[in-house]
Amino acid sequence: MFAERWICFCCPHAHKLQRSIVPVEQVPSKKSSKSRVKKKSDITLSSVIIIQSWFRRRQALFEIRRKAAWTIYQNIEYAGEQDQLKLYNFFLDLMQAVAKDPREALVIAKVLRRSSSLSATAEELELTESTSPETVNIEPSYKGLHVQLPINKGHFEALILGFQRGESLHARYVLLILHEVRRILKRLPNINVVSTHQSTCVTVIGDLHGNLSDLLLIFHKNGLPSNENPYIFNGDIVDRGSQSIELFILISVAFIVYPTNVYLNRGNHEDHVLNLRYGFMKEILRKYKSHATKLLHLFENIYRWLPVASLIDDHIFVTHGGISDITDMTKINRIQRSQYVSILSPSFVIPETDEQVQINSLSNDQLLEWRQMLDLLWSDPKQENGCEPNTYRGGGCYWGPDITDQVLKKHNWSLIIRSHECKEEGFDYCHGKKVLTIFSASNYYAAGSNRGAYVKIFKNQPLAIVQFLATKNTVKPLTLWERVSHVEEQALRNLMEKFSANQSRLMKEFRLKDPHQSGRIAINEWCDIVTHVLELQLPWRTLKSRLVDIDSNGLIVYESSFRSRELQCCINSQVINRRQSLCQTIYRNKDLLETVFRAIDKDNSGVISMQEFTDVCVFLGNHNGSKFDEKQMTDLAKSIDLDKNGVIDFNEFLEAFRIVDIGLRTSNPTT
Amino acid sequence: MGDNEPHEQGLSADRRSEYEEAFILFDKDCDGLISSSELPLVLRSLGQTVTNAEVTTVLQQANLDPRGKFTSLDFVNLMERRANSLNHETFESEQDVRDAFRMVLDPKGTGTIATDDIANILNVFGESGGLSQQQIWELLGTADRDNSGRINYEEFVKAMTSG
Repeated sequence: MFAERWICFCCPHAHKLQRSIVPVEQVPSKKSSKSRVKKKSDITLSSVIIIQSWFRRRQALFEIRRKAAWTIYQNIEYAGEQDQLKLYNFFLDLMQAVAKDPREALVIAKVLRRSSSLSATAEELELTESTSPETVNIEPSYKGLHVQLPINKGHFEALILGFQRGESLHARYVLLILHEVRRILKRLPNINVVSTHQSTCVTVIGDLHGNLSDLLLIFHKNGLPSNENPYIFNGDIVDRGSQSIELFILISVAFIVYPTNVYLNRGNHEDHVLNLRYGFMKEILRKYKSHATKLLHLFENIYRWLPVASLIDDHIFVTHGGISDITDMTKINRIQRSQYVSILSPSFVIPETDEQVQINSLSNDQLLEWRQMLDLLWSDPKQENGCEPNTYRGGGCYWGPDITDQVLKKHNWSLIIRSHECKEEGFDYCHGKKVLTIFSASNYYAAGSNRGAYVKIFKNQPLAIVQFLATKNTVKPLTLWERVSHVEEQALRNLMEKFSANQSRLMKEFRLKDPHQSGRIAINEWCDIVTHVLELQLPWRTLKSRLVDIDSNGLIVYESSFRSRELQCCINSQVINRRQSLCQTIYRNKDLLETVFRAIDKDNSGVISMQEFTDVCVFLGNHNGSKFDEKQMTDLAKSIDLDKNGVIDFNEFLEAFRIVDIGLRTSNPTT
Repeated sequence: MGDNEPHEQGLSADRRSEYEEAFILFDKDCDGLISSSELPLVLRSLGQTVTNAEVTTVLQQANLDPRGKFTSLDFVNLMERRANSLNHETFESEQDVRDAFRMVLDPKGTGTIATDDIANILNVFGESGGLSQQQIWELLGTADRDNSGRINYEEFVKAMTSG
């Protein structure tokens, strides 16, 4: 039970067990603090005590529920990211070995290959031609904003109003703005040099993740960007939220209008590979349809020009992820950052053509350089000393307080400001207050889950952190317990989906522990199985009563967690009945499948060939531990009638599998 | 909730795991330690009733520094000790709490009480149970929908108990 190492619910890597505090000498007992209250009658007194103890207990119960809900969100988020990066990492691993199966090689190459394989000059020309705003016409029916160069403050303000009203900016103007941004970004160094000399202060914003309402709230509280009110945006503007494009446009315009007072740092989500999976690509496809390919192509060519860090007044280092034991400003400054189309795959790694599958072996220098970039955008701080690879995220490092001291000392810095991790209060200090995490997307997991925050750095005063919480105007502010309940409810729904998606596997293991088929197993066995099958390290004992029925003997009625939700195929229900296990496997890997399908679908048509479809399924099956039998997959696609002349709409395919509510779980335990 | 803990010996393995979980959840900076000042909150979240003064005694009896930090092992051992020496906990029912409110703050039975009064009650004996003034207001203030300075305590109790 009390092993040498344990895993806490919020950081997935194990901690070492600390030795128990040595017992101290008995402290001479002081008189316990006597109340200084006037004497009340005994009855009143006992009533007061009742109220106090009840109130405090309820409050504590809310606390633990809130914390448990939080761990659910964090674990599921991290598990998702880990999947993505595991996939990416083993693509690269596979490429280093000889790909024996030519079909596998084809899949890998297709996913990773850059969209063009021309020389730099030719590429530049190709980009300008194919994504020129001139290539897009404005329909007479367009009633939105019109933008011409030079872009000015008026455009910025008009865009804010327009986006607030829910309007969209025409693709032609988006291209115009993006080209301008790119032009200016190309001139910038890898590390922005920021000074509070003129303006006396600068505001640092953390992750926004497509939350337009948070940015507008910040501008409302802190003023619009200007030469007197400079801003640093510390990455992760896009993905996850629903208004990533609007956010990116607004920030771009601010940057164009005030290029010496708006600073952009690249985040790990400013990366087309992550955009495949985490929503930005989907958003662009949905909002810009036929023009989406151009926009995506241009974005792919902008990210690499974003600086990777900012340095304020020579002593405050601002970067999206963090640092590692090798972080060195001189070395960073020498890097040719434009080679890093995706931080996960610099151009010296990716094959140029479909045929050329193997990557050249990297020199030590190249590897170290790659690590510099990766570490800046992907690392997380940890409690203990040392520096180790961040296997959880799949990139970057975990770095300890000794590394912070080391790097700060080497460069004569006093503080590291970073983002990358969601914090309940919107910010968090660590490493003896030498590292500050700033996260600016409030309600990140669910309404009310967390605050956002930004930090103001002053010339002659200590820094100030400002918190905020974006709320919808139409809804009355929730009471604390309503907020806790709501956040918890969302978290539990997400968790119940995991149960449904793993029903066959879970039931199999439950039954093994229930030889007499009583339908019940002991609590500790249930916890073990759930942890192991779902691969989620969560406080199951605290959560169990919300997830499953418990009988009067304290045993878990394991089937009850499947009664309220189930996986259905909404096109052909017979499919689910015959192929439960396969369907669940597909559902579990929905995100991964979608990512790879979309990567292969170079022209963004939403459609790939049946051959490509089965290739991907089989390939993932071989390397992801899930079983996608090729024949079964083809049969499945056919039986839900999605095979139209040898091509398949993969969106339709994936959407067909959904988890739906089928009725309320009874709260009374069965006998 | 039904459980099978043997009353004489130590805690059941399940109980120990449950307490370990609660400990981990409250270990904010993930260093494996919780400070003694947080102990009341953790105990209450596990459904136990304890005043801050009692906690100091409990810690001293377990040879732990009331001003220091302790590990999950310390915590579980402490809970074990408590389980052995504790009589059955009787919790106040919802009715008890409503009656108590009425007794102290609403003798005329109007159904509402002033939020100021509640805050004062919670601070009697100088123990705010670890809640700052701001936190109390957050809990109470939002129950006061029309900003009248009064809340309907029956609803309040119900919401807090069943939510």
